[in-house]
Amino acid sequence: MIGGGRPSSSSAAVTAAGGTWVSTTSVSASGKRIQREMSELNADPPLHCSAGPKGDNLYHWVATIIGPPGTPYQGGIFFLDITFPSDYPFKPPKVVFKTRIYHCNVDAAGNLSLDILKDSWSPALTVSKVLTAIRAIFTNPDPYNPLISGIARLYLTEKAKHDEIAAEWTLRFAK
Amino acid sequence: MEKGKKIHVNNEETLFKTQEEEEKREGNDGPPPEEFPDEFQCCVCLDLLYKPVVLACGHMSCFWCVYSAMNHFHESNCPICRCPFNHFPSVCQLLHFLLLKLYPIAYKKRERQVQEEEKTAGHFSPQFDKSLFEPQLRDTSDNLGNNRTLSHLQTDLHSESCSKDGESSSFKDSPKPTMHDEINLATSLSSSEHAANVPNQGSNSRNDSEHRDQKKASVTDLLCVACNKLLFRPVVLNCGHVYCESCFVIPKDEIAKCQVCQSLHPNGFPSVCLIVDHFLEEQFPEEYSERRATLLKENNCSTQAQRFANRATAISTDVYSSWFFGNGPKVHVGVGCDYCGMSPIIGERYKCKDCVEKIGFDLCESCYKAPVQIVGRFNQQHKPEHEFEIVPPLSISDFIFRMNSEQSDEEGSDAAEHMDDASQVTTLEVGVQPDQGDESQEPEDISPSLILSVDVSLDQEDDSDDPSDNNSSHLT
Repeated sequence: MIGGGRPSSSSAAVTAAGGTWVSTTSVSASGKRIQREMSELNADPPLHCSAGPKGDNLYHWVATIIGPPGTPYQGGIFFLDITFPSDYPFKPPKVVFKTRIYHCNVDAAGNLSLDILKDSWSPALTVSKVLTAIRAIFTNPDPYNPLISGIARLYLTEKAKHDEIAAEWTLRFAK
Repeated sequence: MEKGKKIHVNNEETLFKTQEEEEKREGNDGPPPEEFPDEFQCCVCLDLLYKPVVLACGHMSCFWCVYSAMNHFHESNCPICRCPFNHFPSVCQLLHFLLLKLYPIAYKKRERQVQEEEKTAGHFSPQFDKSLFEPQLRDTSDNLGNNRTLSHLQTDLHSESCSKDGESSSFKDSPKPTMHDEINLATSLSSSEHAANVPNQGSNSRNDSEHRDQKKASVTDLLCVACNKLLFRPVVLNCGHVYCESCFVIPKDEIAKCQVCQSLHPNGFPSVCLIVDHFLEEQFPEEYSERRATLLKENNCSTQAQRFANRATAISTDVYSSWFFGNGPKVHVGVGCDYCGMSPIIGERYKCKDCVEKIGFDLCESCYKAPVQIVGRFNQQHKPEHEFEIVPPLSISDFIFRMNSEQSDEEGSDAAEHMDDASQVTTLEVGVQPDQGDESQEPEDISPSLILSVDVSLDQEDDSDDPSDNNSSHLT
């Protein structure tokens, strides 16, 4: 057998249809899975989060997370863009913050460093679980794997000042 | 046939709509969708498990979901518990027929969906049919039996795909295989005193399952292949056969072997499949507690200890990276063994020269040498007279070249243009990083080869010389 889940040998990759066989199968398979996630999110949304397709395109979603109380992000509404790859759920979705946020794990372009969205991705994870994980780094930033080291340093050394700036940013951009 | 064409369309918007239409159409035409409990939901596709595969850690997923989620470059991890594994297990037929019996409508719907996908892809999952195990077939010589079953598979598949237009008619008419075959096989091979009466019970249950109302699992659907009693703390082997935890014993200093099909179970002692365990406890509370009581008496600590010592193990990550640096066994990235499921194949790779399927037919060294009846796990029409050749694994330069072409291919065909500049790693990094990615989760595992991998990738960028030269220069 020739492996197919991940990039594999070119003999398996290039078919008459002009794509990898994985993507030809999973465009429909990923669509089905995304639709299932959508209905499950509607039925049982995670706490203080919401998500759904942006328009007609099933592969582009918008999500919102409400800043958890007790953090400098409290009360802020943070918008995120979620883009699903064609071989979802075998590849992680791409999640980008659309609202500016002062957080050591989110860079100026809105990219976030979250292990489960990269190497630790598992096909058993869902948008709902990803949003819960993102909400968790609001409460507990990971300054040891930062995207912006300056913020991480401030978080570790002067947490009060960090929180003050973060609250100010939340007020400015997320309300 | 119409549906198949629609799925081909790559535009996501139309796809979205056609899927909606399809759902509606199926909703109107067919019977109302069956509800199935969450425990039989596949964690990957979030649908009803179809052709379930149970991993050594006891978690299960659909055949294609496990296959697609596997990493064919180094060891794979369970989607749920991230437990590493090297072998793609065979479909658990006991569960396959159990789900078919419990949720016939939903399962048949899944079957049609998957068959559509398989047709588009040109790769097929194994077909299970009661005729596969029928006694007269087994009594004939291995060669003849194999040919006949395979030709049967072909016609079966063909007729199924042809009747697709007739929608619901296909699933009314199609045969309803039950656990009968499993039991039949089990009883004929294990020298049990029940051998005479159990097949009769099995055929009764088959007749019953012809009626849709009969959706309750019976004890005969969930028997251990060794003791022929209701399963207690079920474990599923690499070959897909289900044993009670206490019935599967690994002999000392020997590799575990399935008593039914004689195939090796390479993953150490499997963990109990808790989903089936809970199902058993729920469905048959009396029988189950009875089994518990009897087994508690017999059970002693030493077997328990031995089990824990042999707890599911995986080949260490080092094996996969060491091959690149010329000091380990051969690793055939992206190629799996069609018998034991080892993916990637470590050691010699035997490729069938006569199988024409796109997915190919390959065996690892031990399966090539083992005197077992080989059936391809992707429905390949492999015949015993086919010839094999030894294929060398990809060299690192070849490998990186292919990764590059893959990457460009991927960029072109992505449904969503998610290729942003910032976070996209270069193709070269992707080429050598799979090992690195893994080791970043376990920092204590960082080996010198990791540092080497970065060097090699840089060298590769400058000149694509023979990789072994690069390696030796760095190793010295």
